[in-house]
Amino acid sequence: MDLLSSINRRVDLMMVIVALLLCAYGVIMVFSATQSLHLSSGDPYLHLKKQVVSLFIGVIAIVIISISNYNRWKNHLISIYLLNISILALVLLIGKTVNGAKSWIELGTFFQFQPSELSKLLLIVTLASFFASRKTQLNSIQDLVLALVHVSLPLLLVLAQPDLGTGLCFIAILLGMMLIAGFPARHFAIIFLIGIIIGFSAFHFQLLEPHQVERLTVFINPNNAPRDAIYNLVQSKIAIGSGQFSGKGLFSGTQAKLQFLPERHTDFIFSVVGEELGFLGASFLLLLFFILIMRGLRTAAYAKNLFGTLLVAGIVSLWIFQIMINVGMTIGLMPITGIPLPFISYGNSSLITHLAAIGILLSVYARRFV
Amino acid sequence: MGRIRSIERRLSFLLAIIIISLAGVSGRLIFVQAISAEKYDRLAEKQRLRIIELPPKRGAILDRNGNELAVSVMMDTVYATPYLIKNPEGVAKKLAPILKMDEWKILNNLTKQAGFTYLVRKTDSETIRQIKKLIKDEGIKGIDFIKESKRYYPNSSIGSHVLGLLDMDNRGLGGLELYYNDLLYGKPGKIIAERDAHGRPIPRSIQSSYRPVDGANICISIDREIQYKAEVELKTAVNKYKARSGSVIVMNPRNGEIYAMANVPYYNPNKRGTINNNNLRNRAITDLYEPGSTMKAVIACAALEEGLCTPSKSFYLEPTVKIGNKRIKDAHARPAKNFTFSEIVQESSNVGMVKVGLLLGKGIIIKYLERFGFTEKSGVDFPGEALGRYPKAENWSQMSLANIPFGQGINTTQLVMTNAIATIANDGVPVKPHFLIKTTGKRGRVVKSATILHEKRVVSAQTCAEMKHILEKAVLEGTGEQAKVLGYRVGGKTGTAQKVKVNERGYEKDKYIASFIGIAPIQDPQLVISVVIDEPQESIYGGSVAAPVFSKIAEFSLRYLKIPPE
Repeated sequence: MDLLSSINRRVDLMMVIVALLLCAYGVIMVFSATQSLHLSSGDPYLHLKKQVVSLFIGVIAIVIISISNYNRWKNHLISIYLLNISILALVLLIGKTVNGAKSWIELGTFFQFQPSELSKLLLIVTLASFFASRKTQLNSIQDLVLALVHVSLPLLLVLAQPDLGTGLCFIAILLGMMLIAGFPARHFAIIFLIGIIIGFSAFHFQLLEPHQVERLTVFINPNNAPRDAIYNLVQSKIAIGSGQFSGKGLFSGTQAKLQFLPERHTDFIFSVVGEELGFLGASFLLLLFFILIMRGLRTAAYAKNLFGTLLVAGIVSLWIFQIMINVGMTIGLMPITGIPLPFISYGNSSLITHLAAIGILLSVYARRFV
Repeated sequence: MGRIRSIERRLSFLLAIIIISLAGVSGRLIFVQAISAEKYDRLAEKQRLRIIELPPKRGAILDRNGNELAVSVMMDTVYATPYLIKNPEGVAKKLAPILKMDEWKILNNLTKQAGFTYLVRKTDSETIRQIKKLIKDEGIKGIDFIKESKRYYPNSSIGSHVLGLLDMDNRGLGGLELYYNDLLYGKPGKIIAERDAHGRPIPRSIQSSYRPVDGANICISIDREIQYKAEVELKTAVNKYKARSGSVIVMNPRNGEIYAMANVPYYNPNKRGTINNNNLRNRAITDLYEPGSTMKAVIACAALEEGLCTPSKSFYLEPTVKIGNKRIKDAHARPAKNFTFSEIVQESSNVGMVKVGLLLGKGIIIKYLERFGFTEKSGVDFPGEALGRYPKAENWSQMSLANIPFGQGINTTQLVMTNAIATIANDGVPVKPHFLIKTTGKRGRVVKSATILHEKRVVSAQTCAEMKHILEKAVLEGTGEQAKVLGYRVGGKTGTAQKVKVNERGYEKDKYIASFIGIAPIQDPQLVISVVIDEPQESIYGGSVAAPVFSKIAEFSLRYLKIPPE
């Protein structure tokens, strides 16, 4: 009993259990989603194997990061920031183009590294370090400008891939951390205005590809959308809706198996959950996410210093954003932006990154008294 | 301290955002997975299941002696599975001369986004042989054959109006083929197969399959020989008098079975190209006409039954009678003289019938029109029966009272009129005219047989006996002399009716419907035969145009049915 409580004092067991449950859930769903009949030309277990390997790497990352003292990262702002910029620049130089985006770096034949995933965590660390080391109350316009400059460099680099989804994640991280750091409401209003201006001019000067605009707007008026743009959304809703209350059973989802559902193991994995496990399975998944985020908020409140709080706030903001956008997209609430579901969607870099984020949370939690 | 409080407030703000968005997502999830779930489920099913229908073999239609009137032959149909065809342009080019179709039409079929498309249906064996050879020589994949049943009418046009027609999918379009489609069609078999997003059927994923159940055979009351004789005689008369059309009904007044129903113009059901709206109709059931003097038999029955007249009751008849401002005269001008009631019917005197009508009054006339079935359809088992009509009691003019007794101002079908005379033949008990005798399943088991509906007696046997006596005299001494049948006693009533103007009041001056309805043999009725000839030229009288047709059909039928002569 003493042992358990002493462990509990140092490690947020609940968070670890929930995170591992999410990973297990994800691995099973990825396996189910990649069992399509006509995809079986190669190794049917390929995606499963890769995801399990990533899970192991991620767990190792959790252990290493959680036992290391996060406070020491605060002083490496510049080097971490440069690391971030260089991996994002590197992918633009030597990256491999998949689906029109230069987002992957080949690491042998087995693994592909997606720098933009890791970049999210690096940005959180540098931004937290930057905010925590400012001597001001973080309410001047100068603070805002510097924060914007801080984010805009990596942001422009991911938009150049182009990877709009990760770019939006950066903005969500910025907003979440600014909120917790205590920026005044007028600064948010300014960012909002800038967003409108950029959005409008992007639309006006056609900086976005036409298919991106279609995907972004299709959920607003699905009836007028062109067939290709609406296809993903319609198929996703059919899959989830036909799952009904208790689903068609694990590995028995017809829409996913018969390839009606696109991107089923990555962006639309939630549709597979909805189809095969129904409302029950989808709600259970949302409940796990909710517990995870609540534990995150608790960690943010317990953190010993502002740097720790901001680290956690950035991670929690990222999760909230990714979960809501991804789930919302599959049920027609949000635009289709290609943002994966943390812990669940297939993606090696993504899974490792989110597990590393758990490591950061545990590190902050463990050092809440010291 | 202030900063920590502020952080807690801001974390609560973040929590509020989380809870609100979670509520939104959950709400939407409930909407998609509970409220609209059924809709999406249907969509999903529609998307992934492909139902291939296996057509059953349609049942045959047999005449009362088991002769085949309509049969199904299994024919070859060629279909393609478009995604399996490697070189659709080349295949289309090679198929075009064999199928005698345009190349681009075939190419359209071969490039459809579907797993199945017909190339040619129910084709001949030579075409099939050529296609099979082509497939073998060129190694073409994706073209296959199935058997489909095709309707064939072995007697070509005989009974075509009664039998009706089918569409390409073997479903009834008209006639008994339509009326008994459910019995004849059988149950189609089904293969329900899953397919993937590319429309490809998935091997070994067949969910269920049902074998087709062949349709039942039906045996109908038509007698092929009598039907043939009726058609020949009708056609001869229509041609001889250059009439527009004509119809014949031969029915058994004892049980309502229809032995023959013929119409001119007619069509050959095996040659669909020759069918048009004019030759397609089974006029005896679907068309209305004014029956004219044949109606006199019904009104005379009413007068006898009500005791208002006896056959020998004497009437003094002027050459004409004036009703309102209209003058009614007989078909042939004659001086004023005395008629017996019987002679009024025999000689078909309009003037006399007006007097009888006035004697009866509209109440009694309407009562007997109802009793003899003029208010309703006959209820025959045939689609598209027309409903006759006559003025409602409150709309009767003096003209109606004068007109209706000799068959003007009242619309009915030939079948209903024939059935009224059949009621007299059957001693006052109406029967329901019908075609179906029995339905037999695959192994000859009787599935269903028609019940003979004897309805309530509407006039006494005594009245009918008197009436039949009058009708026999009409043939022996009256207008129906040409209806006589050698060796048999027959009775009947002629009709020569002016045609009503289309879309106008009044009657056409020189367009007539000549008709005759007779009973044979009159002392023991076995047949009621009605003949209606529309717009005969040269001669216009029922007695001269229609009565001879009756005579010929009756003579043949009585001998054919081995009814002993007198």
